[in-house]
Amino acid sequence: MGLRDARARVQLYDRYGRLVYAAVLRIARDRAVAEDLVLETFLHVWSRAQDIDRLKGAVGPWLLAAARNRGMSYLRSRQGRDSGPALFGEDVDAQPCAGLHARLSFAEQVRRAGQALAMLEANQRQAIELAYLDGLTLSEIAARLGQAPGRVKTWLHVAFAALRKTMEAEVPE
Amino acid sequence: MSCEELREQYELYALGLAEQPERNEIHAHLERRCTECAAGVQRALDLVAALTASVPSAAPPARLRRRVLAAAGVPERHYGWPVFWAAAALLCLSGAVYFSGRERQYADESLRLGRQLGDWTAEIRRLQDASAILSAPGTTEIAFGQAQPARPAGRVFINPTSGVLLVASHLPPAPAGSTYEMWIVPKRGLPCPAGRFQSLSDDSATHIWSGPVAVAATAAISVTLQNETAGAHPPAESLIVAALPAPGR
Repeated sequence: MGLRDARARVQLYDRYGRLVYAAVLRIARDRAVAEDLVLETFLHVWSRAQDIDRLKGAVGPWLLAAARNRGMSYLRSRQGRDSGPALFGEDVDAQPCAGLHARLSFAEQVRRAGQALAMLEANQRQAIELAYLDGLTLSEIAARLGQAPGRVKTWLHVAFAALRKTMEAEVPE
Repeated sequence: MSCEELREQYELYALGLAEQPERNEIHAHLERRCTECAAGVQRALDLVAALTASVPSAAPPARLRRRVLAAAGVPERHYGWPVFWAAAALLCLSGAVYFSGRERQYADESLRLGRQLGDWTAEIRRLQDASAILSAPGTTEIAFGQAQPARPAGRVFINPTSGVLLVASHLPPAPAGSTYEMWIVPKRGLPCPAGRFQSLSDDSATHIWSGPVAVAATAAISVTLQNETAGAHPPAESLIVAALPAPGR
């Protein structure tokens, strides 16, 4: 059953609508804006139904990437910025079998990511959140935390190495 | 640089934070279809998506589900029953009119239900049209109003054979005596009217124009505020302008 089927669209919203709403609400920090961003995200998905059907198990990561990109675009427009960190994650041709979803369900990925994030040192966690939820550049994160950009970059490397280790750990039998 | 040297950079690249020369190096590896870097970047993108989804849970309001599914052309499940009951009531009333002496009263009620049934049928047809535009191959999606928080914002979906779907928010109901009108603006010549519509009390609007569109010859889709009695002449100011991307972009 593809996304051109009405039932599949309803199922997709019922499965991911809450996650997408929570994510864009955290990014935009405004309920009305978050509702608009959720609507935009799902409209984008419906309009690319043919492509999305090919993603199969990777729909969750793709949908969250699309939602995050819309959230980042909103933050930039609100801040009057023309540019910011490049936005990726909506290229459906990119290695459909190579991602984490090839081994883990999206729910398991989210569970592990939340757990690993909570175990990071506070400064590392703050630096990562400023990057993926607030869309700041390295120099902006450094300025916000009152640190040198090189030091922030090191924190990010250490934090991502820890996250990677958790995400790539073997699935217990 | 080798894949080994770039491995630590995949997450920063996925977040758009990788600096030079690493950013160009990863880009070059992806361009030449390096499987190791492509898999690494994909895993990093999945990680960013999982982090994004790991924020504290928040329940979306029920009206959002209705908005999303209606905009996607999915009629709500309860839609079928009112139509069924209205049709059943219409049949019963027709029988009642035939068999009873209160013809006039039942005839009025029958007429009212008949109109309601017609409205529901039209709404279902409208949602089917929206679904056709969203699902058809070759549909182009254009965002508008993204950089102007106080102005109408949303998306236009345009398909060469199915038509144009406009989904807008922050579009307050038109003042009394006025209505919104959508226009297909060609690259050369005068704009063509593409239907009038009203927004809802929550400042959202969905409007569909069904029919073939010469997308390559179209410069933009615009929306104006019109006097309800005015003819199809575009006023100077457009409230919404969704410019089509240049060919090849």
